[in-house]
Amino acid sequence: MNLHNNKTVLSLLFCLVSLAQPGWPDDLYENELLGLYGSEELISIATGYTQPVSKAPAVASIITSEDIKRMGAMDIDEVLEAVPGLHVARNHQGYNPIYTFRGIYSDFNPQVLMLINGIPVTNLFAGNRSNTWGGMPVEAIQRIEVIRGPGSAIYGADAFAGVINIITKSGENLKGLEVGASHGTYDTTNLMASYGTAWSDSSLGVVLEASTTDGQRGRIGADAQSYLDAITGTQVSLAPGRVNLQRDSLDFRLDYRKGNLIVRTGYQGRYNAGSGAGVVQALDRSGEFKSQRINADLTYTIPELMRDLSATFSASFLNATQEVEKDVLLFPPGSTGSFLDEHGNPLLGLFPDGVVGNPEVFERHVRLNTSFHYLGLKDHDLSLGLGYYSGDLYRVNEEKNYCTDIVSCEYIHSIGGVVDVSDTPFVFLRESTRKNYYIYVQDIFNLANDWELTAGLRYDHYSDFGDTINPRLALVWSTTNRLTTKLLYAEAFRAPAFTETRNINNPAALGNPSLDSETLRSLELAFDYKSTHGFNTIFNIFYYQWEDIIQFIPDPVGGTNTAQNAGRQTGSGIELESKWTPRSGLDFTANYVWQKSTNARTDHEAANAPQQQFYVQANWGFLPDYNLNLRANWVMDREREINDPRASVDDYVLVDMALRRSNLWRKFEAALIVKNLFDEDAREPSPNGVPVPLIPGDLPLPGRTIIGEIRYRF
Amino acid sequence: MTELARLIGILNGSILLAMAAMVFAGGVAADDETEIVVVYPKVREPFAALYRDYLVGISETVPGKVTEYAINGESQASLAKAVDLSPPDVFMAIGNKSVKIADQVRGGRPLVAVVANRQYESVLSGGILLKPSADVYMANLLDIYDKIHKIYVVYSPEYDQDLVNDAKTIAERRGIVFTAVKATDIREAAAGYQKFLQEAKAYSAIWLLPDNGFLDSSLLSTILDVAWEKKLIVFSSNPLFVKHGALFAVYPDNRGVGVTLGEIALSVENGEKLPLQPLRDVRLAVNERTINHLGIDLSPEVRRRIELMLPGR
Repeated sequence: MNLHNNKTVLSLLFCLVSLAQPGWPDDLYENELLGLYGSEELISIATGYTQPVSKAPAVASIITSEDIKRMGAMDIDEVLEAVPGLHVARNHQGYNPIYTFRGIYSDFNPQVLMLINGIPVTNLFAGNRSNTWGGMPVEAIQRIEVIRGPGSAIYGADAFAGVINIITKSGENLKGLEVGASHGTYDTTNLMASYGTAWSDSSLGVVLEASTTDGQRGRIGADAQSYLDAITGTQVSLAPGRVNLQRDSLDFRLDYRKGNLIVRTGYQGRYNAGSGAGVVQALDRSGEFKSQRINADLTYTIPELMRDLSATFSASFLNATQEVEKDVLLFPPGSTGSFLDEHGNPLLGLFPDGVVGNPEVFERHVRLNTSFHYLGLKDHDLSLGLGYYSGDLYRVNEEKNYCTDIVSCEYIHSIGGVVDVSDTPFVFLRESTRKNYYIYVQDIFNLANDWELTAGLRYDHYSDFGDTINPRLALVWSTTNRLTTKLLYAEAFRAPAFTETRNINNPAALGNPSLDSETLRSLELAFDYKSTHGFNTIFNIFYYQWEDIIQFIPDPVGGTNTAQNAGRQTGSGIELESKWTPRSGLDFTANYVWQKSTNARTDHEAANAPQQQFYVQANWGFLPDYNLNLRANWVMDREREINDPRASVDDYVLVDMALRRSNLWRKFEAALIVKNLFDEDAREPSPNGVPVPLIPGDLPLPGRTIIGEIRYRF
Repeated sequence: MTELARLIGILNGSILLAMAAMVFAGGVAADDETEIVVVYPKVREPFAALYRDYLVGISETVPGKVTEYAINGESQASLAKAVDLSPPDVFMAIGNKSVKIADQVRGGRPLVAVVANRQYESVLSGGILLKPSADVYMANLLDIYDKIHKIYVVYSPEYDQDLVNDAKTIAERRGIVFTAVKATDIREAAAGYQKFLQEAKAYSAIWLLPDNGFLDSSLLSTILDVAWEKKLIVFSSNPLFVKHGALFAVYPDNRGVGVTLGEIALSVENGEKLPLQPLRDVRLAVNERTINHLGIDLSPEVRRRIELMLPGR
């Protein structure tokens, strides 16, 4: 279904609006209840429908399942774009998200920690969520907590530029059986079913989601092969051509609770996944990746181990894979590959079937954590935690039909074709393990009336790169009844990924086993103003220093690049967010951020991250049962790297709309969702290259996308 | 696409399982057990979650069959038909609108309800008025701060005369000075509050009665801002006020209300008529930021009773 016509959008809108029936005056009941509780938000909290926001001595945002539904979001990335100070850029490979907080941008984005129910989903391979991430659907999500700035004093490694914690739904949250389906542009179909039930002291919740999509069809004008074609005289590039973002997904989550025990398990399968704009920025129409992620965790809480002392024990397991389903073409059939001598002559001749590289990675993560919470000392709220982590990148497979040095060329040519180099010295990565022990303490100390100091310290020992200690301090002053002032200082570290420490046989990016972690120090001042007129605003100023940034630096001899702790970046900025709720059912949200970061090595503005971003959202519940959500996101001022010949990345404004009608023919619910309503040509930056960027025209984002959704609640 | 096909198979399976569970769950009550029909309004979330909590309490107390009718315009007719075919022993209604609907179909059988005001009291065999009694307010105030020496309240004689009289009696028995000012409109109320805010000394209490319509957001802001500056204790039955800076509020414990309603239903089954009870099943909401500002130490017993510790910010 490709609907690219404004009239179609409007007629669909009118269709849905015309389904309005004379409403039963639900407002009467709602007013009666509002009189008792004061506001819908309080009703939500009082019924446990939503959890109250814990007092976070950090600049945090909470997005609830209701917010997500109102937005019409299908993937967490659409939700996260609404968080002030967070912009979701794209990597050329599979369009993996680059969660950019406060000017901290990197191709693989290991500087952001994503947690599901407090457990990291970080992969050892690239330090990100997965190179075959394939998004995350939202049906199972109860809420998302986003902390801007560092959080290593509590969360440890990679809680660096920001932390995204996804809390999934329990049986208590789900209550009953619901099924739903949606279909829309790019032949995208989503199916979901959820079931939740609760007994006196236990509950069970299950969410199943499946989707299939052809993926957006953004056009790449020229790619890495276009560059090679110009040098070698071949004419085989698939550009101009479309990105390949087809994908099938299956997600399952189960949550069982009994008394103080929580048992959860999940499965995320990504199949037939296209490589986006190509693994090495050359379009690939046929390559397909697969990823399977299986997780399980168990948490047991003893609310009163002793008087005033509670304890929580948790254990978790995650197995994650990156697999290849169909040969991944690094360069298309007829290419010479990037194997050229200094005069541009091919070293390995032509590859009639294309340059094939099928990297597969299998990893396993086990975590144990114990934490204690003590309230027995007057004016103190003490926490102590200790834990163990074991990560094992236990299998590396690779098939390829190219080689990078004399020895590997002899081996590969002696066999011929696409050769399995797994368990040979010619594979791209060493299998390896990482172990980590840690201990942390935190005290929330009530210094005086209106003054509270949070002090935390965490020590981590890593088997591969040593020790690190990370503190945080937060001074919170209840300035007046409406205003709270916070001063926050924190340090963080980012563990080197195995691509940075253990890469081999890739002359452009060799691993360095003696790397240190990247470090970040951050200072923030925040003002939080809440009026009784439904108007809240938060303003904060931040400054950070990012040190020991891991970069692949040319070696003195041999024409290779090796990972080094070489980079340094400093940045500062402001974030302003406001929410106004003039009455129940109507609210407006706006946020504006400005940041300026500088690459200290080049003294040039840090590249790719937006220096300004402005986001507005209006949400209106009207008639009984209708909800209209309109939002606009304006991404501005993205600079290039110092030696990038291109002009700055174009700004864009994306407008999304979601119209939802619940209580339709009793148990149905329908929604019409339009993303990029005005079909804006929005692009995310492609990497710079030497001597030229390989995809000069950047990475196109989806055009207008129209989705119809229907749900039925039993 | 094979994965999708597999998924659709699983989906179909889970729907069948759920349907089977529903069939088996719908048991039939024994003849000697009380059968109850609960009528409540069909509303959206999160409002619907409140009714679910009532129903949990009701089901825990009533040993017999409890049939629920979430009523909207269309389902009113099916309710009438169903109760005509199989009349229950007692009708229960949640909210005034439901009382009106249940009253039309009950055919003389007892009707108990939980309501926010006394509009339909005459047709009820018993029930709960969702307003905490004076002793509930006073007990919670003293639990949180037992050195209280003065309480101020502006009230509407139309709505709250009895409540204020009871509170005054309890307070004076404890040696607390109780100053109550009558107001019939927002201007009189504002004047009353202004007078209190001027004369109140630190750790005096201001009791905000939310149901008289006197408190618009400007007046509430002024009260809470001055209370912060002068360290006055503000309490209420509205958790929203706590969010904005009042020290505490008592609000309905819906499951507890459901249990009490179930007990009332069982006791009026044979036609007795009871007066509406004030709300005693309450939960406690406290503003931690205000607690710290006032420097009040909560006893472990009170801390345990707090259901909502509203975030400091």
